[in-house]
Amino acid sequence: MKNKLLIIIFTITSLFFVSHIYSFQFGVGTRGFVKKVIEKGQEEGKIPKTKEEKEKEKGEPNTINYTGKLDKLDLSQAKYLFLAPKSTSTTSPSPSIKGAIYKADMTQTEKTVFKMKENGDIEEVNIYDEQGNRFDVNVYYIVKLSTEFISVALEIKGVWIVTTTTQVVNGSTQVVTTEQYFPVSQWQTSISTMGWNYSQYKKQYLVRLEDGAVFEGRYLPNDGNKKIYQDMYGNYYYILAWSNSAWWLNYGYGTGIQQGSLLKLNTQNMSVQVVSAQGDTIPSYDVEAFAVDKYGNLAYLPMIGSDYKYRKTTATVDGSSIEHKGFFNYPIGSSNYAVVGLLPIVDINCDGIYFVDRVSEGEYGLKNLRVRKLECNYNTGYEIKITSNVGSVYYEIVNSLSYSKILSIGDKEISLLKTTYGKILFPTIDLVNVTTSYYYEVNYSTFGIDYNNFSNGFLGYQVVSSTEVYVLIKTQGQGRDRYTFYAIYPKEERIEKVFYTEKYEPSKGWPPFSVDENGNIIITATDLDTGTKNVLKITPNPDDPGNPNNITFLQQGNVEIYYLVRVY
Amino acid sequence: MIKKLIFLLILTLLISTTYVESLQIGFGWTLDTGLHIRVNKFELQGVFGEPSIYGLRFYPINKDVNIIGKEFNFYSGVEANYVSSEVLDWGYTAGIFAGLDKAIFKKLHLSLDLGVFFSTVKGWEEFSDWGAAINTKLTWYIGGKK
Repeated sequence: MKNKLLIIIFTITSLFFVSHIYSFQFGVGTRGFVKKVIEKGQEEGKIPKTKEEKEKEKGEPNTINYTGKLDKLDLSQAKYLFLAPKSTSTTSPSPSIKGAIYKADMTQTEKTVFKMKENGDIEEVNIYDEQGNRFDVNVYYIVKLSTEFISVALEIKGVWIVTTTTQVVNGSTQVVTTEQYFPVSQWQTSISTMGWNYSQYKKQYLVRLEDGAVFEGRYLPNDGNKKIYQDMYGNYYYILAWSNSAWWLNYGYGTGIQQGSLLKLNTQNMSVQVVSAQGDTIPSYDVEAFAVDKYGNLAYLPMIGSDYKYRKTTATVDGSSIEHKGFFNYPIGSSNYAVVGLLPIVDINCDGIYFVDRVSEGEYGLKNLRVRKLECNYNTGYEIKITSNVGSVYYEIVNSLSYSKILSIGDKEISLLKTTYGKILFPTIDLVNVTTSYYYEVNYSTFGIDYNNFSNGFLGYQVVSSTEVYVLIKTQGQGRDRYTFYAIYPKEERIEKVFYTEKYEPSKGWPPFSVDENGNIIITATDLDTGTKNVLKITPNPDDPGNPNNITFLQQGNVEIYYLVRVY
Repeated sequence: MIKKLIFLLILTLLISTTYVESLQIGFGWTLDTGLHIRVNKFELQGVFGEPSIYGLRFYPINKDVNIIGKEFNFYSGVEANYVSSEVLDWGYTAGIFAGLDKAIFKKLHLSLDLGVFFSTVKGWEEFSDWGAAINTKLTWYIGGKK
């Protein structure tokens, strides 16, 4: 009786299992059951149907015939783009936001592009080929050209091949998508057709921000460029500079265009053209010695101490046949002293190019400034007019004008910003009355910085507009360093404290912070209480500068950000 | 290779255990083209074909029962097997079973059991499923009580 009961219990238990399992295979013998399981797996596309199919799959990694090229970056909803390590690391040195193009450190961690969306979410940017296969890459830099294009350099490491199969499951047809990873070493193209050429997967690309379309090219702007001009036809002008991070680019230039050449990138046909004279190399110090106006007229200093060179441009109204004419030399000022020409510059609207040089008059040496303006466009032809001879400007302004930040340039005046050892200078040169019409200076001591130690206290500045500048100051706080942002309004001779904190330590680098379109300060900083790295958006608040509510977190965590590029 | 090993193992066990009367030893054939060898409560089995399975059965429960006036041996236990197939990287299956055993001619026994099994196999991807199986075996005992 007891045994009968056992049999009944076992049978009922078995039936209970049968009714509660998702899928149920029945086999005559254990092997028969396993056979049914395999058949079920084959129906779902998870198990090869034949031995041949399995062997083919095993052989594919070494024989994949893949020639895919980058086609698109998924930039949908992107507000900021930045580079960060593929995998989160908490051991590397803390990087900084570098405005657009500056590399924070030389760590060789593989990085890729991330996007920060409007809602603050952060996602890795997927990079696809034309078939929708996804690339695995190591990105070296992102350079912002304009609101229309960025330039990137990257190495392709592999690709995830997407396989789509159609299967009949329970009578209905379903599409099953799977991804399989193939490193470049397993691409047949890399082995059989070209031999093993590792560098063939390190390339430069131009990326259109509107739709993420990718254009492969050479001699594109890189993270070594300090200035990039754009004319009204959508062409970009820049020096062929050494890259700071993509070292392999610099070796590639050896057999091509000479370093220091002035290049024009035509985004209509994606061509790059040398527009400086053959053999000319343009010096690059703090600022590269060239300027381009909105018509495409250009001027540069081929080398320190030589004459300016300028080049007139003719173009149709729509810019379809823009043509750069021959070169003209224009002498810099001369005197009894060795005279160094200053940089050609353009006004804020890029209407014309200014040659600013200093001339020596009298026995007191370099005290005078001469400003000449090159105006030429397709309507007026071109002319050079001596706009003014400016006398009686401060010696130190004349002596170091090339290293000044130009706040604004108009027909009547030039407003400048210059930092020196003891103060920040804001001179305005009156071009009509040939004098220094306005002058304002702020001593570092105003911010509580010791004169002898100003370099540790004055961390940097950003120009918000022609009438407003933010500076970042470090002073001793209550047990920790205090970081304070001031807004300087030179025309109003006014300074405001807009934010300070002792909780967050800004990451080191230059420039130390960015300013968004609403005047908010964007900065990477370490939370000294928790050690986390954050991207902060600080809303200037002169009424309550110490209020923590002035901070909005764009990102919190351990992701190390290398570049931050605003894409709107 | 595995088939040869199992054959040698069975042969070795047969020869060596013929002289050990205290052990309950049996060997036989399973319904789905397999071989097995039983030593007390353990049973090594190999079922050949596509796929093949190689594994071990454990019989902890053995009871004599009377059903419709006839004597049977009720048994129950667990089973685990490695799955070998030309379309798989690997596979495993395991389950519990219960059934009846009856001597049909001298020491030749016929057993029939029902089991509930779970299996995981790896082809392109891993795949798992449940199910049931009926196993039938003929076993010739050469030692022990049977």
